[in-house]
Amino acid sequence: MCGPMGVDLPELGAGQSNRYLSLIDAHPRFAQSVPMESLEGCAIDKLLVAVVDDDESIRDSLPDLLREFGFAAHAYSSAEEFLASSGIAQARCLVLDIAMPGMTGLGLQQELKSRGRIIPIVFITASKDEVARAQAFEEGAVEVLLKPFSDTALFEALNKALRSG
Amino acid sequence: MIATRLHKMKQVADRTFRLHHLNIGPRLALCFMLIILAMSAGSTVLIWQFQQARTQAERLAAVDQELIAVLQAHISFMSFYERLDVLAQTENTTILVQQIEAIHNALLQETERARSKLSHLAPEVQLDPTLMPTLSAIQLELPAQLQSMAMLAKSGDWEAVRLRLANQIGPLESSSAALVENVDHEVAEQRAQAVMNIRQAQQRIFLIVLTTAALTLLFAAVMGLTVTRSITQPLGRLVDGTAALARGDFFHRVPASGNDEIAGLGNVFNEMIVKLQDLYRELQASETYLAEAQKLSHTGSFGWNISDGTIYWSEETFRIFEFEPTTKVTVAAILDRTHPEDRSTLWQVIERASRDRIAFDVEHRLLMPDESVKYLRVIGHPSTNEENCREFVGAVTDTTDRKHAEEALSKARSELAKVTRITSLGVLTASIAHEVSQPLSGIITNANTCLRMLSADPPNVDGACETAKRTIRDGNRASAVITRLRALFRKKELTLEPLDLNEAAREVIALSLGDLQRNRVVLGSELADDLPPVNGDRIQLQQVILNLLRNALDAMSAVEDRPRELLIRTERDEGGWVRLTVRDVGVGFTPEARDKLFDAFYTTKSDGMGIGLSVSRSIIETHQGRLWAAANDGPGATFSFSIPSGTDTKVQ
Repeated sequence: MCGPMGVDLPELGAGQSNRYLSLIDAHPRFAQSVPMESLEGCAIDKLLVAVVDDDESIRDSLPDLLREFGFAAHAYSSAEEFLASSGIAQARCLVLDIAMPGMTGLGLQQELKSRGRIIPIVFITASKDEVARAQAFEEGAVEVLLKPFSDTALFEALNKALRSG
Repeated sequence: MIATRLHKMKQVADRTFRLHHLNIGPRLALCFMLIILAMSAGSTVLIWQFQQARTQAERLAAVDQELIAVLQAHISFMSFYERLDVLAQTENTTILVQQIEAIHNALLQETERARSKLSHLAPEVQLDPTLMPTLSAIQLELPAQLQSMAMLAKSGDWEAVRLRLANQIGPLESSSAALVENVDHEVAEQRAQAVMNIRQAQQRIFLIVLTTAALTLLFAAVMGLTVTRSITQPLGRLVDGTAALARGDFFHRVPASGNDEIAGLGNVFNEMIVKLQDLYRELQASETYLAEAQKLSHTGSFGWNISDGTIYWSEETFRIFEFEPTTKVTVAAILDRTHPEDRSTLWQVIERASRDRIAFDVEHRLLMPDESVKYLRVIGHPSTNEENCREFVGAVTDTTDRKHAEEALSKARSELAKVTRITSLGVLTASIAHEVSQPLSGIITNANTCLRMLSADPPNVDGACETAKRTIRDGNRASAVITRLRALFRKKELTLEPLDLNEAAREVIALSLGDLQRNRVVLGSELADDLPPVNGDRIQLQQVILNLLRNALDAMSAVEDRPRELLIRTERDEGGWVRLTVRDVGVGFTPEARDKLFDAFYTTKSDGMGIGLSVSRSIIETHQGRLWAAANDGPGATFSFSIPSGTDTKVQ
């Protein structure tokens, strides 16, 4: 898949590809390396953000917001589902619930690590479990957000995640 | 050397005489009897000698008498002769005849007297053989001669008279003189002999007296010594035995030989020692067991004389109070050791006990010199049932370990309860949070999405509608969670059973005693006797009572200027209901707070959850009752609940 890595997204979420492209354009990193033509020619996929949460409300609501942010989004109802899918290869960022039946969010984090698949993870969780929170960060999570979270918080976290990736 | 010899002799004498087999009475009697015998023997011999001496003296006297008689006879004879001579010279016949008659009578008289005297002499006196014949001759002859002389005188032949006088009577006179000499001689001899005899007898008497005295003395001394020793030695051994017993030497035995009273006493004494030894051993063993038991159970005993204040303490009591066993225990010393906060209580108990003479059972603390605190339980009661009993006996138990354990247990329990409360609440909260935050998160996310969609150019209205629908759905979901939770809170399965509220209250009180004591709460309970049974869930009702109790405790936790009095009362309420009231003297509540008291999550405690009263109210309401609070006239508050009894007449 072709797509720039480490692009700085501006604060205001722009949904249009045009604006998006111009931003990519403006970035010094890609000023020379990626010719506009190739970019225009190539169907620039939006960055895929995978959402893994066992809760229906989250799965229904979050992808739309992410799309409004300008990402591509896909929701999975369990860690296993995600692992079995193509999202594991394609996802640029992971929005992950911690407490899930079956493999937990932290478990998925470990699993990806052991598979050598480095995807920046933003955890979202309903419980204030300090231990889990600490462990998440220790294992390299970008952020742990408490539900319900504001869109701004999510956006910042995604920024951070893509910057670090 | 001599001493050993004497000792050996004594032993031989002892054995021979076997004095120890005689009782003391007969022994002494025998001794005295022998002494008396010896003295009697001596006296007899003495008397015999005295007799001898007396005989000799009599003999002497008799001999003297003999001489005297002879001399008298001779003298009279001589005087008679002289007179005759004189008469013959005068040649007076008439006077002569007269005189001769008189002389004749006198002479006969004299000789007769002499004869009788001599014949009446003691037979020991050896009379001169010539004495009596001479006298008889004189007696016979002389009258004849006198007659003839008289006749001659009558005839006037005075020459012949004188001649006859000289020739016939003269020789008579000389023979009597010779007789006197003889007799005198003999008498002298006899006298000498008698004197000698007397002297001999004297000497013998002297000797006998001496010997008898000495012998008797010796005998008496020996007997006395022997018999005395036969009494005093065994007595001495007996005394040694008692002295040994007084010292506490139970192994001493009195050697008893023979079968007199002292030996009997010695045997009895030995038996007594053996018995005492056994008793003492038993006593020691029992004492040791007791002391060990006291030590193991940390319980000491005491005795207290309330009239003179003397106090006896067992070893363990000294150990508990950490006094030296040699100190004199006084009430003042005990109070000194008592914790300052408990002193007045203890003093009151002591006063009441000594005044009314009733049993007491008090728990108080001791403050040791090293600042450590010991918990004590002191129980005492009068030692007898008499009215004027002045002595108390009792026990002191060190309950510090138990108190600490109880406290630790109580603390652990309350910690556990707290943690459980917190944990379960935490779990509950987490569960609530989890349940609710999902739909909430969905709502917020959807709303944000909606805004963005609508502010896009062109606005994505369909998408916005979709988000709105989702929002509603999530809202409903959240609402359903709340509803479920409410149901979870309210609906608890009640196990209804008839129960005695008094008993339930007592159990709660018992459970809370540790807490109450630790918080120095003075608990009063007025549980009505005639309380009817109620139909209820025992555990839940007890939870309510416990909650009210805990609240009261917490309300009084800062009270220092008045006793922390907590009153629990049960009584019949109208309509057959049963009311339980908990009253405290704590911080109370403001009129404004009264309405909020039972609200969930309303709390005035810094670490409170605020659900106790709301849950309690809900429990009571489930029991068809009501729970309310009222401020006291003074400090503190009163919480009461009233539930229908099994016999309630009120229609609900």
